[in-house]
Amino acid sequence: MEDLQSLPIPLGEQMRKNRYRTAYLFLIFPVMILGLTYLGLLASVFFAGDSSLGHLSPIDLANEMMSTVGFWVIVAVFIYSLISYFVGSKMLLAFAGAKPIKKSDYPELFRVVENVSIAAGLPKTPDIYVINDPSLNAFATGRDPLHATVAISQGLLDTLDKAELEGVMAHEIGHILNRDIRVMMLAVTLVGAIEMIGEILIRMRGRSEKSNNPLPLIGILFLTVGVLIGVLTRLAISREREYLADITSAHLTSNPRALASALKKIAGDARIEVLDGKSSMAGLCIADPTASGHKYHAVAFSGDNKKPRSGIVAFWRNTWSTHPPIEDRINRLERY
Amino acid sequence: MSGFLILVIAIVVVAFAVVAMYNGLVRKKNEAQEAWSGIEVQMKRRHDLIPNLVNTVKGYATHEKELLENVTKARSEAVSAKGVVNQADKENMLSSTLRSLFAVAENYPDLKADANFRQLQTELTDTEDKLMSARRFYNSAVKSLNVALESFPSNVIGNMFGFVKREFFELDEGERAAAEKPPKVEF
Repeated sequence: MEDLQSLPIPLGEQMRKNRYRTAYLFLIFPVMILGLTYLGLLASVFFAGDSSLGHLSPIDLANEMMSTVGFWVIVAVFIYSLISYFVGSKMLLAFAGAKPIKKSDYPELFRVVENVSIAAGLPKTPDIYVINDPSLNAFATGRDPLHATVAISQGLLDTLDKAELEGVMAHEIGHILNRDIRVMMLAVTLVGAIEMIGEILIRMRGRSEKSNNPLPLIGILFLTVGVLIGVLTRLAISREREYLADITSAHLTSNPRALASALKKIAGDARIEVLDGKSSMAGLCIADPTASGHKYHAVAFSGDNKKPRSGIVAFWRNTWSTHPPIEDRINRLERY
Repeated sequence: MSGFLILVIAIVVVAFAVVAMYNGLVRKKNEAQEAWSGIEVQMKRRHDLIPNLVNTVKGYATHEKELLENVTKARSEAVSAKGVVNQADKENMLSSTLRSLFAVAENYPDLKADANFRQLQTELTDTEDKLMSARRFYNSAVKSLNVALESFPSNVIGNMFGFVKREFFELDEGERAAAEKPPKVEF
C-alpha cells in the first residue's frame, strides 16, 4: 500500500545524486575562490601601475603574492566551508527572517509536522520556524534528517487548512528525506559567499579616493562569476526535485489534492519581500519567492485564463526559472 | 588456467552479491524493527493517558459506569496484548470504545467545559493520529522487507540466514473506510 521503495519515486537515486552534488560543491568552491583571487591579484598588479612593480614582471609578481596569500585563502575557505556545513541552515533562516516557535503558540503546526515526520520515519521531528511575513511560502533546510528545519510564513500558516498544511509540510519533509536540503544549503551559502565578496569589494570604491583603485573591478569579477555559478548550480540541481518532493508529499499524506489546492493558494502570493533580489535563496522555497519569479507564476492564475503559455518568453522563463511552473505541478498532483 | 580464473571471478562476484543481499535484508529488518518501536511509543502514550481520562469523566458522567468499565477493560487488554495482529485488534477496539466515550461526553456540558477533559481529548486525538502515521511507516517498512523475502534470489539468502516476514499492523473496517474516503477539496 504505502511503500516508498515500490513507488515510482527514485528516492534512493536522488539521495545518491545529492551526495555527488555535495562533494562537487565542496570541491568547486575552493577552486573558484583560488582562481578568482589569482585573477584579482593579476588585475590589481596591472592597475597599481609600475611604481610597485620593481624588477618583476606583473605575472611573476602576482605569482609571488599568490604563494603567500593562497595559503590563507585556503584556510579561510576551509573554515567557511565548515561553517556552511554546520551552521549554514541558521544563516539561511536568519536571512529569511525566520524565528523558532514554541509548541504552545502553534500547537496545530507542531502536531502536523510531528505526524508527517512519523509517517516519513524521520529519526526526529525537524525544528520548526515561522517567517513573520504575510506572503505565502515555505522551505526546509539543514544538513541531514537529524539536523533539519522547516520554515513557513505566517501568511501561509493562516491561509491553509489542516490537510493543505499537512501537504506542504510533507513536501518540505520530502526535501529532508532525499537530502535536497544539504545540497541547497551549501549551494546558497557557498555561492552566496562569492557574490557577497563581490558586493563588498565594489562598495570599497567609496573609501579609497585613488582613481586606479582596482577593488571595484575585482568585485565586479567576483560578482559576475558568483552569479554565473549560481545560475549553473541551480540548473544542475534539477528542478525535478520539486516534482519529487510533491510526489513524496502525496505519498506520505495519501492526499495529493490537498497539496494541489495549497499550491494554488501559494501561486497567488509567493513573494517574500526580504528575499527580493536574493535569487540564490529562491531555489530553497516551495515556490519562487522573488518578485519576478512570483509575477511569472502568478500570471498563470490571474482570472480563468489557464491556457498554457507558449513562445519564446515561456521558453526563456522555463530555462532560467528555479522552479517548474506551478500549474504543471498542480496538474501532476491532480492526475496522481 | 583461464577456466580457473573465470571460476574464481564468478565466485567472488557471487560472494559480493550474497553479502550485499544479506546486508540489504539486515537493513530492512532493522528498519521494520525501528518502525515497530515507533508504534509502541504511541500505544504506550495512549495507554498512559486513558486512566486520567476515565477519572475525569467519572466525576461528571455518573451514569456511564458501564461505558467507563469498557474503556478500562479495552485498555488493559490492549496493554497485555502480544503479537502484531492481536495488538492491532486490541488497539482498534480501544479506539472504538474511546470514540463512543467521546460521543457520550457530548451529552454532558459540564464535562465538555472541563479544561482537563478538553486537554485529554486533544492529546488522545493527537495520539491516535500519530499511531496512524507510525502504522503507515511500519507497514511500508514491513512491505519492503516481505517483498525482499519473497522474491528471488533474496529469498534464498533470507531462508539461509533465518530471516522471517513480519505482519502488517492493520486498520479495522471502519477506520479503513474513513482513511480511503476521498478528501473534500474546495477550489
